[in-house]
Amino acid sequence: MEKLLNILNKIKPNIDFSKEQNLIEGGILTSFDIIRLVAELNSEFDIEITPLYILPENFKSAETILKLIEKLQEED
Amino acid sequence: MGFKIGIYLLLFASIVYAIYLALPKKARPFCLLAFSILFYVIYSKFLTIFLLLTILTVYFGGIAINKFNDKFALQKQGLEKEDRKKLKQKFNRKKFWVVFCVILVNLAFIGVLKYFNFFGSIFEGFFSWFNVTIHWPVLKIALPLGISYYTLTAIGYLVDVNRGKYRAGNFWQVALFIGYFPQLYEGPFARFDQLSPQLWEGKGFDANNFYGGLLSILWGFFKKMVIADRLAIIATEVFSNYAQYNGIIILLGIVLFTIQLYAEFSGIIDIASGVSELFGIKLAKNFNQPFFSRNVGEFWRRWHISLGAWLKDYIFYPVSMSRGITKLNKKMQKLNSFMQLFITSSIALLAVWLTNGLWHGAGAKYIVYGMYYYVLMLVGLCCEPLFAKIYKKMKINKDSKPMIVLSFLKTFVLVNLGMLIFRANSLTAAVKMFGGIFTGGQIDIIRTGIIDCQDFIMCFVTIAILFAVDIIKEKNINIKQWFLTRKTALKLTIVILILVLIVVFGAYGNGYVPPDPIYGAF
Amino acid sequence: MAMAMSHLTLFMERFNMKVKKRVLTIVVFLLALILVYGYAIIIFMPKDENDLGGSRYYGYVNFKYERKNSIDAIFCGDSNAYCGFSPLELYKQVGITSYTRAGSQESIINVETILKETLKYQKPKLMVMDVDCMFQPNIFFSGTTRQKFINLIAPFYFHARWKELSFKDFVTVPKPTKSFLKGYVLERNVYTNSYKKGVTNLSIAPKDLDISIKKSFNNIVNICKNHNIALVLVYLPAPASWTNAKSNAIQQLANEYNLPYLDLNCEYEGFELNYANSFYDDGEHLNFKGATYVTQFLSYYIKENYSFVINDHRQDKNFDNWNSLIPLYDQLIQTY
Repeated sequence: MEKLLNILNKIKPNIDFSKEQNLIEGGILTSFDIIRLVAELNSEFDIEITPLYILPENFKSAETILKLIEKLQEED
Repeated sequence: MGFKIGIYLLLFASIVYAIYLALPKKARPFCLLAFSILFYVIYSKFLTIFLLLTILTVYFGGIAINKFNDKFALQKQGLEKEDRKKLKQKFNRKKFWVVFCVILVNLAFIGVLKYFNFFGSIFEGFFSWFNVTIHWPVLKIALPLGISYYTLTAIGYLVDVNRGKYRAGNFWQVALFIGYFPQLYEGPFARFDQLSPQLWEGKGFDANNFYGGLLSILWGFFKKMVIADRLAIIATEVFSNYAQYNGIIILLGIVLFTIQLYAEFSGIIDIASGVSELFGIKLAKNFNQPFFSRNVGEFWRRWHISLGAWLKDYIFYPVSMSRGITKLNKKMQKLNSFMQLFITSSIALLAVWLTNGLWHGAGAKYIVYGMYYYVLMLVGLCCEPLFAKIYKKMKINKDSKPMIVLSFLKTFVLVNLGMLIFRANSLTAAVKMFGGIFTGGQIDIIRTGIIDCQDFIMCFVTIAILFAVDIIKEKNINIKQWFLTRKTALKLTIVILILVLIVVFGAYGNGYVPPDPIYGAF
Repeated sequence: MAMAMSHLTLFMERFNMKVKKRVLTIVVFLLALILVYGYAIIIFMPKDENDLGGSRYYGYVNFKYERKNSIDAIFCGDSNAYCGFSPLELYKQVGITSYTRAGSQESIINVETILKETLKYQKPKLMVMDVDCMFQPNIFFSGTTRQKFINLIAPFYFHARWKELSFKDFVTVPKPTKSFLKGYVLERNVYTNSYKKGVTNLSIAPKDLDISIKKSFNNIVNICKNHNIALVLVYLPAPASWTNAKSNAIQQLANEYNLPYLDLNCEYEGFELNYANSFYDDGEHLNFKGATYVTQFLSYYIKENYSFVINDHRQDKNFDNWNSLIPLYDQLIQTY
């Protein structure tokens, strides 16, 4: 979770990602932020987030993003 | 809209509705499918073959992918991690080729039918540079109804299946999903997992669906016939004979065209959604009060929403997360993160806006249209940190009411410029019209005889109504919900009232010229 | 058992009440709708020839209010005809009475129906037909059936009258009376265009005419023969839709039936229409300027070639009702 929050803060410095629950619908993360985030997550966690997983429900909050990461790490 | 066409559509919808309700639940989706094909054959006659080919290719593509996925699941049992990875890659490659071929074939259909002559003119132009005259044959064929819509919808379906979002459907599901008649004329683009389950529910009569659908249909007709067709009187005349006008009249023509397009396009979408709602099937929202956008980017998330969403999911993300771009990113590690983002985005955005522009039409003008917004988006991206600094220094709160209104106006101006490019007869005409705004001071539009006094006033009365409704919706007040919870007598009164307004104030028949719907030739 | 029966009868009674109530509400609602719609028809119908759409409507239906056997000539055709022939102008020039019996998108088959209807009330000696109607596909209704249909859909057909509705419209029932313009529809707008005269070219293949059209034409020629009506074919100026092929097809028929044919879209001796300001739309329908010129030209033509038709009524007391209209007509033209 630490690593994830660091990455998120690098992309959008002034947001408290541990609290925010509406990152996509609330307009906090734009499509451009998503590409950056995905690139970083892919390299940091050695996973492959494909466009399939870019859904509002996956990127709603830091918790849901973490769930996505864990799911992809388990998968093959 | 010719009153005749409106009547025929309503008649068709009523017949389908009556039969749909009379049939048992399981038969209803097939009723929709049969009438969708009938609708298509009546409209496009023998060109229906292209719709069928798209359905077939995409269906078989989906089945093939299902098969590969099943084979993989079977074969990967008991393999080591390394072997599993290799096996996965092997199947991914097979799936890729299936998707690639199906997409290529379907793009070939639309490429030839819609863009043949355009490619021809580029071809000829290219060779004329070398003083070689080539005569590219001119194809004179009508377009199959909604080919620009159903092709992309079908491609989206196949890509989703390939990504594993859902399993491929059976033939009837795929056929109904792609050929569903309300969305064939002007969209919206549908997603299989959102639309197909609804199509196969076979919902029976529901009073709310009936009244809700009716309200949407009537509001749509109001927007099209009372507002859009009236504004078209001035807009069409100004764009057709721009050399005769200058000053405010040209400006008026452009602005009224923008509003005409909004009223017409969103009106037709409302009619389509309303018809679909009768069957209890909700189509995707396509407009979200687009003129309340603070920048051009937001505008394209509120205007033609399903197109923007399609481009985002099937062009923007795939391009920006593709292997080529990721490799490029790695090479750019030295640059600061902003530059990285900028370069990645500009490549992905280029793909998006080229597609958007070309989708709107087969001509150089439309590519310029796409590039216009591309440049605006890039400039916006670049200047965002700069403007943030300026606002901070000048202590301006960009979220204050006056700043927000200013941003709405700025976006409106930029959008109108885009519409000028979109609608003008040619790029030269667009430039001339733009110049014409600043020369000469023609003001009295009534004297020019384009439109009479009462209709002119009506233009602005109806724009005010449109604006008022949009403000209410922007404040998240659900007008439809309020309507549905009224007593039946009141609901019927409102329905009849809107109908009367359309009949009396519609710009059709004697004294009005019927214009062709703009987004309908796609 | 008895209990069940009484429950059942009670239930049936209540059910019947509900159904009866429902049915009654629906019937009342429908009746009210019909009444309101009927009132809407009254409101939107034009009340006289000056109302929007009025001259077209009344020009047509008021034909039967002309004194029996008082019309010397009739003009027939489609919308090009009712924009192009002005009976009052003809009367002004040569003193013969006439009527324009034409309707929007009428085909030759409709003209045949109208001719037969006309002969019930009048004995014209001359019929001038604009041949544009030969190229119209047949429409559903014509003649009186069409007028009745228009009555029925009046709120839709005349909806543009919202711009001019007044108190009078809500309290007057439309009543046809004698027509002022005698079937002519005066269009004021001047649409500057760049059309020019056409050129006769007999070498171009004549357009194919459908069997039903040729049949109707044949019928009309026969009716005219049987009733001693001189038939003249005219192609009124309509550069937007005129072609050599069409004109040559008419020339062919004219030769076959030995009828005079004036193609006013080409050079015709003495015919110098000012194309630029004679149309109210883009080269299809004549405006009042064009109609005046064309009718004047035809007046001279009729005077020269059909003197037996000419029975100058201008000094005739019996035709005072026509004579009194001329100054009003002049006034109307002056205002444009």
